[in-house]
Amino acid sequence: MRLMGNGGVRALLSRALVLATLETAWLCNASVNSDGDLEGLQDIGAEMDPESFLEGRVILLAQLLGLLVTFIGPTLTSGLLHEIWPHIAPEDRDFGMEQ
Amino acid sequence: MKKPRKTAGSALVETSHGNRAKVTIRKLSTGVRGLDEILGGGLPEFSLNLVGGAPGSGKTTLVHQFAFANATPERPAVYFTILGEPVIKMLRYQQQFSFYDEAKVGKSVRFINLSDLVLEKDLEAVLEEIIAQVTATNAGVVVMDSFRTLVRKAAGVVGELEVQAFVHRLSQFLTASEVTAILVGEYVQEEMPDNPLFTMVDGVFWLTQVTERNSIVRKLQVMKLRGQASVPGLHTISITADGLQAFSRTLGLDTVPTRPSRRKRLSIGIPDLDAMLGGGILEGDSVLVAGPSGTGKSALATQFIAEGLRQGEAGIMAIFEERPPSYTQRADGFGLKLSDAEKNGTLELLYLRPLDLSVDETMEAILDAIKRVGAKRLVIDSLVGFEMALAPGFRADFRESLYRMIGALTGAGITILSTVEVEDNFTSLQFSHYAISFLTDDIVRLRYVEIDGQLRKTMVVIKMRGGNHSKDIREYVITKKGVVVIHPRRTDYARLSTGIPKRTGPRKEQADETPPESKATA
Repeated sequence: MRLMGNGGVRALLSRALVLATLETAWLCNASVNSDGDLEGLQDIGAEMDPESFLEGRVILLAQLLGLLVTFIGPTLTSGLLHEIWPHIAPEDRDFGMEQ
Repeated sequence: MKKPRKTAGSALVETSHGNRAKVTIRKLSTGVRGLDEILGGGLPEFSLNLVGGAPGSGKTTLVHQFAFANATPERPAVYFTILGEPVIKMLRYQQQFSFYDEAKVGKSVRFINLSDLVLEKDLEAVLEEIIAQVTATNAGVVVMDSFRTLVRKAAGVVGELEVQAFVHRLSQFLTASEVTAILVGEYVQEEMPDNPLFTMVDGVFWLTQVTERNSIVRKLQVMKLRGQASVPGLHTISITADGLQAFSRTLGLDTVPTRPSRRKRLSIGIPDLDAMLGGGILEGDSVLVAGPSGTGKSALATQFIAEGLRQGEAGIMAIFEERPPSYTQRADGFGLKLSDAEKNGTLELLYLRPLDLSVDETMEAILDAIKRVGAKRLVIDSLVGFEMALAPGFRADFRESLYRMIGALTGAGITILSTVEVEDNFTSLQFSHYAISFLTDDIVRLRYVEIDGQLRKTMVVIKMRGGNHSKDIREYVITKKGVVVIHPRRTDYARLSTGIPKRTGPRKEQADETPPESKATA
């Protein structure tokens, strides 16, 4: 958020949501608000099988990270991810980079 | 009295002669090749600077280079983006440059988006956020891109005085925080007299981009820089895979060393021509070899370089017309093994013909090569080709830059042989239609002369600054050994210099020449 601003996050997350919905139809009930936050997920989750709900969210996150890799490359994306979730091991956020 | 302290890792206060303390302003490298030299050593530490110019002129790239060059984990560079190019795109494009160190992003180089704050809050809130971020990160470098957008948005809401007060407080805070800052904006030069921002900042740098005929000419000008002497004027800049590169209009050669009073003579590799030159070219001279096409200018230039190599003097051949393979092939034909010298690093053949170079870039390539091989001899073949290789917009600067380069190189003891093509008109002897004769110490003129039903070649030394020379017009041929002067001067013809001489002596019987004239085989 600090890097891209609300507008940047909103645009990227909206695109990721569109792409994730192609794989997981129920995500069409979620939306991105003007602050760049996801809305509607909790309501959907309450009525869903937890495993399918988790899978949908993983797909959404994968799409978001995929977009970042497309735009700014794997190294920077990995760096951003490390800032947010420092506990994730480097090998789990290599995005196909050659070691 | 308080003792002066050391801050930001540099000695800021010096005492000279025990009674006068003078602050030393440390200069930060801009990370832009050639720019530090233009600025007089770099960007003054803790200064507030403005980079202005039209979109596409290289502003963002320049400040990225500065940020990456100076950012450390302890004193990071904070790059505030304000309603300009989206950060994701900026990161996408800037990482293509070689200076972009991905490992620095996040820790040493931090990007902070102020767009939402600028849109939603007032200048006070923006300043508070800047102060909070700079303080929290202990930033040593701050970039605000685009500052103009911020000011423009604010000016629509508050008065000019409030904007000025904001800039003043920002400037005070950044300096007190030991921050070197650059504000970036799409300003135009005409705004300078009326915009108080230009008075408040310590340095103003303009980047311009002009289309001239079919080429783009990018220039940089230091409009203002407090506390140090920068190189005045417009300097060429280019954007390559390494980012921005600047070429000082003085080529870093503004001080011309004085030539020693006693200089040795260098052989040109043609004994008879050496004799005509009074024993050879004076070391550090600039020699112009002028003549029409096919008279052997390139052959003569090759012999000059090859002789230098034989004497242990490294050389550079900057060639603009022929390609290097044909050059080395001809040299091989003359028995001059240029390829061996190329392999052992005592000779470089620079083929410079990309048609869109600036004169400064070309000069820089030549100067770099001279430094690389430690050259004592330089050939420029030819000046006409050199000028044609430049982008049209740069041709106006050609003679001025050439003058500076030749002056500085010859002053440093490098001997230069340049060729220039002139047209024979058979009524007079042109030295060069190309008004560069003033650049040269010595001129050797080659020309065709009609003698006994043949178009033969003659040479004459027109001028030799600092030495006497032969006045003889000598005939020469191009053989397997290169240019070879034949026959003593002719006394049986008058008006040889016109190309159509008049016989004044008896005609000697002579056999037909078969084959007409042997030439070097490629």
